[in-house]
Amino acid sequence: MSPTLSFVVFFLAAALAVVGQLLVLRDGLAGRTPAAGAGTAARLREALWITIPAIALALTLWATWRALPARTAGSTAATTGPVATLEISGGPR
Amino acid sequence: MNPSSLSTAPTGEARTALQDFISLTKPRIISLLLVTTVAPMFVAGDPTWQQVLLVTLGGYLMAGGANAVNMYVDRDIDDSMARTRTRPIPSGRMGARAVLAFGVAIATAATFLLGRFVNPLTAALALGGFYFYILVYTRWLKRTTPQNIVIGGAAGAFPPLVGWAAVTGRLDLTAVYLFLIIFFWTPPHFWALALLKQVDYGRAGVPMAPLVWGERETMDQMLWYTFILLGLTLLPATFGAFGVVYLASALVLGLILLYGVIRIRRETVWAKPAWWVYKYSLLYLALLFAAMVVDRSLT
Repeated sequence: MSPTLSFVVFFLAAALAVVGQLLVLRDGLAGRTPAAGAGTAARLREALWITIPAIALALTLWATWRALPARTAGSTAATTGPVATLEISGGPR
Repeated sequence: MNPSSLSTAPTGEARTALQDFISLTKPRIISLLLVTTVAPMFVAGDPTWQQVLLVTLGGYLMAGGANAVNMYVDRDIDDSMARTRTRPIPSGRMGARAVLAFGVAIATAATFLLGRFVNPLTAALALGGFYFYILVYTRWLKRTTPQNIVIGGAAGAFPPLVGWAAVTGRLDLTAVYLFLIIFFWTPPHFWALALLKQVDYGRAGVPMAPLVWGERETMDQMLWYTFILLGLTLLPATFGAFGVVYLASALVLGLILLYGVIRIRRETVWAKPAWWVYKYSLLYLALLFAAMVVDRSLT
């Protein structure tokens, strides 16, 4: 895939995912997806459950942005190695 | 006395017991989990047939163990749901402790198998999925929050990490995407079933989204999560994890799922489209992972 197409797909796909996630957060904060139980603790837990996936999504989008070929090709001088790597090694056997 | 009746009775009992042990592992559900375990192995590299066999067996035993322990934990509510009433414990065919022992035994065997013959990371990830399913989803979230499916969905997202780690011995951004794809696929998939089985869940006291939020809001949430899913499935192609074949497949498969979810929201009699979405979403995930393998094999 060409770097330009990568950029275009990235922005369109990321926008779709972000809009979906913002709508989930909006419904949660507006009380449209209430907790099963009453009380502040239940509401806080519910807020936590909708926030965790949003944070995971944001971090993944950030890592993807850093890994875009067009971006890395344009900034090779500034980077010293592969970008956006998350490695947990267990040693292949 | 008819000698043949003496010889066939134990055989029949043994067959029923064997069927019960197999049913404890929920083989139909595991088949999709195995697709999402094995396909990433071929995306990550070039696994040997021994690796594929070991990971398939280990994955089956670990997921089967989790399902059996889940039936032990849920034994108090399984009797009140039509969908689960015929399971071995509520129907009285097996004792609860025997089911627990069976589940723990095969999960332990899976841990040994994966840890000894594949690699420690693979075993740790499979065991992580086991504990997440039992402790976080079944014990904690299932009966306390309508977000049970969202967060609990992470348990079903471990298999691609297991397959990936088995071949590479590490995790990277592509593996994270495989995890997130299943994570964000779970809400629209499972809430389609929850909409249809909400009376059952209500009887069992499980706060599924349609019971707490209402049908309309659940349908809205299904749509929002489908937006996220569609976006996420396209993104791995942007940093070179997959090529155009995968990108086109993900787009077409995702748009069909999106159309199905929109139909649930639009139609007043939504049972039929909800069933359609539930069934199609299973096919969707299998085809998406198949597209990843095909794409990788072409490059």
